[in-house]
Amino acid sequence: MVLLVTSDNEQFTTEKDIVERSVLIKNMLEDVGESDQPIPLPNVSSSVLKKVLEYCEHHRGEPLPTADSEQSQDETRKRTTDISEWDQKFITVDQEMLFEIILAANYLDIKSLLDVGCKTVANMIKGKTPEEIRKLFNIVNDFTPEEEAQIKKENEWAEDR
Amino acid sequence: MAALNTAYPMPPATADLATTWSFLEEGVDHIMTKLQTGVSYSKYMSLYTVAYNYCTSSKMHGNTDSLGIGNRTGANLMGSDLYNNLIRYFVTHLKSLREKSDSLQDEDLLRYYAAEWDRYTTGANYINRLFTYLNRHWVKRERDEGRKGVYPVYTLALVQWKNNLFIPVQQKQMKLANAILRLIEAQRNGDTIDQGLVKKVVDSFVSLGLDDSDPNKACLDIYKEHFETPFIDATEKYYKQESEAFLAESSVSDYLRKAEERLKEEEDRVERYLNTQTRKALISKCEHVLIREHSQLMWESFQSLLDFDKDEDLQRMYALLSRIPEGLEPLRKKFEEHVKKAGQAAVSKLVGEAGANVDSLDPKAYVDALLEVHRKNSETVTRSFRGEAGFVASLDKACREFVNRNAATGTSNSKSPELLAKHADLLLRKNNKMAEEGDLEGALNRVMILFKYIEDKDVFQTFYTTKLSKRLIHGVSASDESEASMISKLKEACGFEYTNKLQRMFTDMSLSKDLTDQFKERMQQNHDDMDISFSIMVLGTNFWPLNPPPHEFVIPAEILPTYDRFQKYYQIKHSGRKLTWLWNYSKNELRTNYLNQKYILMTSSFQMAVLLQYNNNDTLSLDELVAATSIPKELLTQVLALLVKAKILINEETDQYDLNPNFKSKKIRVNLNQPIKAETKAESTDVLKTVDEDRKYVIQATIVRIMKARKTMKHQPLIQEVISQISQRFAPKIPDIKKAIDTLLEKDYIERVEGTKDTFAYVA
Amino acid sequence: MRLCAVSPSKQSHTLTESPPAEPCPLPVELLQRILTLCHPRDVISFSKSCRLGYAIVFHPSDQYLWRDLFLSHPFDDPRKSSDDQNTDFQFVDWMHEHIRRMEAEWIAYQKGACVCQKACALKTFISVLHDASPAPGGRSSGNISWLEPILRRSCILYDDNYTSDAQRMLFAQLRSYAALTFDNGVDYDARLRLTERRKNSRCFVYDFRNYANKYWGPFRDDGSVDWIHIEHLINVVLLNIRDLPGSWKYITPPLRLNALRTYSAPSNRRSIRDWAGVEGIWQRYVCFMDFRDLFAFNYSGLSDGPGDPTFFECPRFREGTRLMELNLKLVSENELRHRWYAKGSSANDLYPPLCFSGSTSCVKGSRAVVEGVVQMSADNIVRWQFVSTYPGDLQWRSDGAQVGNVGSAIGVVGVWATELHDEGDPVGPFWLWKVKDDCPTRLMEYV
Repeated sequence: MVLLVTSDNEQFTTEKDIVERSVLIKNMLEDVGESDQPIPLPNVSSSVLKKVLEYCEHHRGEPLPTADSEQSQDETRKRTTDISEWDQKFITVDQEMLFEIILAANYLDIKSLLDVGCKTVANMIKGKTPEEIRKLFNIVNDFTPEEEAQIKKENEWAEDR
Repeated sequence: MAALNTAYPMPPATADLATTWSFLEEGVDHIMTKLQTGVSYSKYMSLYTVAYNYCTSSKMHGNTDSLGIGNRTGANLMGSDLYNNLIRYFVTHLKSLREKSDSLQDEDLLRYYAAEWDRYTTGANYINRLFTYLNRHWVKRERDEGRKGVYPVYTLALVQWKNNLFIPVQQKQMKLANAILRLIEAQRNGDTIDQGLVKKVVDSFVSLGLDDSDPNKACLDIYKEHFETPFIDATEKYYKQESEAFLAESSVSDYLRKAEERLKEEEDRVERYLNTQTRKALISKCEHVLIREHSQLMWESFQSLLDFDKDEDLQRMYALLSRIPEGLEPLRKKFEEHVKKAGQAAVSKLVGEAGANVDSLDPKAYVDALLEVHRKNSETVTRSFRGEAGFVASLDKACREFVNRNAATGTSNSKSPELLAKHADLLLRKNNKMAEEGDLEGALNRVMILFKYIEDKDVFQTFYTTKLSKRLIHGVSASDESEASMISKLKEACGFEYTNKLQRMFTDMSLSKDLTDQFKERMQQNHDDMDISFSIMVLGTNFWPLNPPPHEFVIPAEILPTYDRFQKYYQIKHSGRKLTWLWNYSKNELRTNYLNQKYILMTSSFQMAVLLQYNNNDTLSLDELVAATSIPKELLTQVLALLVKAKILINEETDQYDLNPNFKSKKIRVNLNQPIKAETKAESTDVLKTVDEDRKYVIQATIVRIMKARKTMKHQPLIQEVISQISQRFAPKIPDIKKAIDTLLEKDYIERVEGTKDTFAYVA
Repeated sequence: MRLCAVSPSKQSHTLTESPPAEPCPLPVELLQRILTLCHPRDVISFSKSCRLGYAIVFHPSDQYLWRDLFLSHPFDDPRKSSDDQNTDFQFVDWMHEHIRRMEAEWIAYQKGACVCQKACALKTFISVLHDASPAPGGRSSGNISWLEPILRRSCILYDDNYTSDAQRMLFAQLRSYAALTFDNGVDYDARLRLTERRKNSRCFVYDFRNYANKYWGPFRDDGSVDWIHIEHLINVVLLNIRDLPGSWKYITPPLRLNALRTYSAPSNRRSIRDWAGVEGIWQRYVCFMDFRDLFAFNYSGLSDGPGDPTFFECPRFREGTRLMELNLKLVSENELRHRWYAKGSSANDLYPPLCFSGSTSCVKGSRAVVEGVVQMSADNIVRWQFVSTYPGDLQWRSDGAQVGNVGSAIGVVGVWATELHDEGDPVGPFWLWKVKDDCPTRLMEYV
């Protein structure tokens, strides 16, 4: 069993093969060796870790990507924004949580979860106008009117839908 | 997000570079220098987290206040700051390590180097994982852009080790490499050294090699430059000196043993602590210094090893010289010469000085002498030269030479085949001492060993045919099985055509037996006056080397009825076939009635014809006998001489022969049928004449076959082609081929192509 | 770095608790990763959301985003477009190349695009075909999968209101590559268009005045390929094939865009030396006009003088078509009987001139000896020249250009004529393409 401590000081006890979906934790256990010390996760809050562990438990036992397979995936380059049914349901969360999950997956080095998160965001961007995108990411239009006019001209082809 | 954790104090996620790095540096240094004191989970996680946070956070310097190309900060990746700080750390760290090494030498230096290498690489592996995020994003993307000199953190650590420790130390008279070389030399001198230490240092050289385009690919450039090359040079020097000194004091046999041991040792060395890729260079260098450089000497002592049958040394010399290119060729040549001389010497001994015994040479002794030389040297090839093809070829070449040309043969190519055929004949005859089956089969196999080397296989064939025909006619063959076995061996060696005649002869024999039986049965039905027992062999003219008597012969009245009846019987059975009676090969048995004791006289037909004259006379003159038998006078005198010698006839007055009424013999069956001297002498010459005729025909047929296929051909290539096609059977002489070409030109089988001197065309 | 356009100050983290919501907390590399999963159109939209978004898309510190977008579009990797194993880092401007292609696609569908824009699009499409991945290896080409529907659905292959020679040349080049595969309409208009095309192409191909240039074949004086000429040759041969009786009409060179790919021609024994895939069995169509017709067309004072298109409107007019087979082998230069090219005329190390010889057989049973040379021309098109010598020393000279890339399956299109090129000597089109070694021999003549 492995003891995890979140940024908000909550403790999670979980099985090793679940938590080792995180390459970060897997590497650390390898390097430092196993002990009953708690593992602090200063970048992950308890609410997010709960979701992440749910994901890891569901996918336990699946093969982890190796350096080689990452390379070959680069080669085949199939752009698929398809997400499996379970993952789809799992990732149906509010936007803030979605971004937190992506960040946690990035931090803990869980490639498949990171993929699911990024694909979900990509699907959200699809077909949106700049204004809609601003809403999505909660950003403010900081272009001057002149700049905006110039930009509009630059890629006429992308305007046409 | 505010990063607050109870376990380990660390800077906030938004900390600047100075704060971040000072925190990270303390951790990095701990791992690089005091890893043995341990790292806690919280320390590990805090280091990872701080590095991660820095990579993923922005310091937000410079707003994107214009869309111009110049402003790229907005989309810049963090990373190069951490990377550069890591470089700085490694440089400083390695500088202090290097300074500590300055005072160290030899084994102390190696121990220090190996220990630090272990500590450093273990630490660097940790650091590499702590900076995973840097590797995954910043380093990978820099490399994808094709930027040189950016490496994953572990590789970076190795590059820094190489530049800041390894190269500077090596620059001082190759301190590291020389320390290793001195240890290896000590080991070669018989000392015990710490092989694990050497292996560790040598392995580090391999790890330091770096393929710039792919850091994961092994690259041996450092290992080769800093270790392999000086190592090979030192090896060359060491063994050059050692081998020269050793040979100055010891025998070649001892040197062979020494070289073998040394080569084995060096193979083991690669196995134990060098990179396997060094094997090729090292071993080939050792082979050069230990073998090639002394090969002349080995070649020179080869003969004496052969002379004294030093098998073990021969084996060793073979094994050593086979490792260098062209090392064996001189041995093969010498061996060939050696075998040739041995063969010739064996025959010379047999023949005696000045060829004293050439004419009375015993075929068995001759064959045994040749076989013994072959056996002995064949064993040498198998045992000492591992049956290597080149030596087998040398053996065959030498055997071919001495089997065909030696003191017994002189310049005659037909002597060896003749003697071998005679030997085979003796083996296959009844009453041969070796006729017990096992032995005989072995002896026949040994005949085949020599047969393989015989150049003029057609001469052997002709002699063998003649001898076989005699064995069959006279019924003295040891067994049909052995005859068949020998024929099948010859067939296997030379093909169906070669043994076709021999097999036909056997067919004739069994047909004749049936014919005799059928004829007897018929005679018993039709005639009751057959008081002569009669058996016949009808032999195909083309298959048997037999000729009818060259003179007239009066068939004695006593056998005339039987003769006529068989002629008639045969004509009815096979109309159109002509029977030629071979009186000179026939045998007869006569019962005496004129003496008290009844004897059975075994005779030739000519003897029979003479003796039957004495049924009506007691005394006859030579002329009367010539008239009665038609046997020419010269032959008849010899026939009579034998009868006189056997005391059947008495010759008291010149040219007058009387029947001896007081003939006595210890045996009831008296064999008078001794070969006449003139006949034996004629036999060999006859055989050779047949061979010559056959050859003329074979050469002509071969030329026609070639020309038919090629249509036109030049003189020289044609002769070459004929030789190559025929040499399986015999070695044709060039004048004979030229003669055959002339004959074919005359007969219009081929013609000269117009306007050319030496091109022939096939005439269809 | 965080995309945090609201408050680009150091204290941005203090805003985390303030409503309405936290700005997107994702670092740049994750945003880029997300963008690589989007269509370029969405990427452009994203760039228009704010200055930082604009910088991430158009001024990134490296080419990660656009390289990934380009390759997962998917387009073929242009670094692997030639077959040689050049492992050196090749610079590709992924962003501009990608945008150029998106723009070209858009222009192709624009009804009112100006000719300059359309010419740009043509140029882009041609370069996309040249950059298509080589055929060996079996993978389909992303470039062709992208281009094919554009050519089928848009009007880019039909509108020909171009104003300059250069534009017309591009148009003809793309039409040559398409080789009528997109002109398959069965309605009345489509058929009428084809009839018109055929008439114009015949006029061009059989008019002696079009052969007065320096290189004589379908080449311009600067040595580059005259695609207008090639297109007419293609039209004449293909439309003649469609008129052939029985199943002969189905024996065509491989068409469609995939037949343009590098080394798409069958090859049982490709070697490095034979870079053009010369060795092997080839089939060849030649078309010809009856010599009296040819003369009448060129020299008659009838109707509107020489080269009058109405000449071909006579319903009884027909050309002859012959299908023959060639077997070619590489030889060294000194084994040739003709002198083909000045040394150094093609100083291309990768593609040195190749000399070949062989034999050709046709249905009448006469066999000719063939020899010639293949070389890479300055405009990177493979150029073929050869003569066929029939018994009795009658010699024909052929000049052509490989359509598409090196070793394309579609083959070589060009002009045959007499060796001397005298005025008034017959000329006609030919089409040469490679077949498998075990392809059954098919010979035919139809007049």
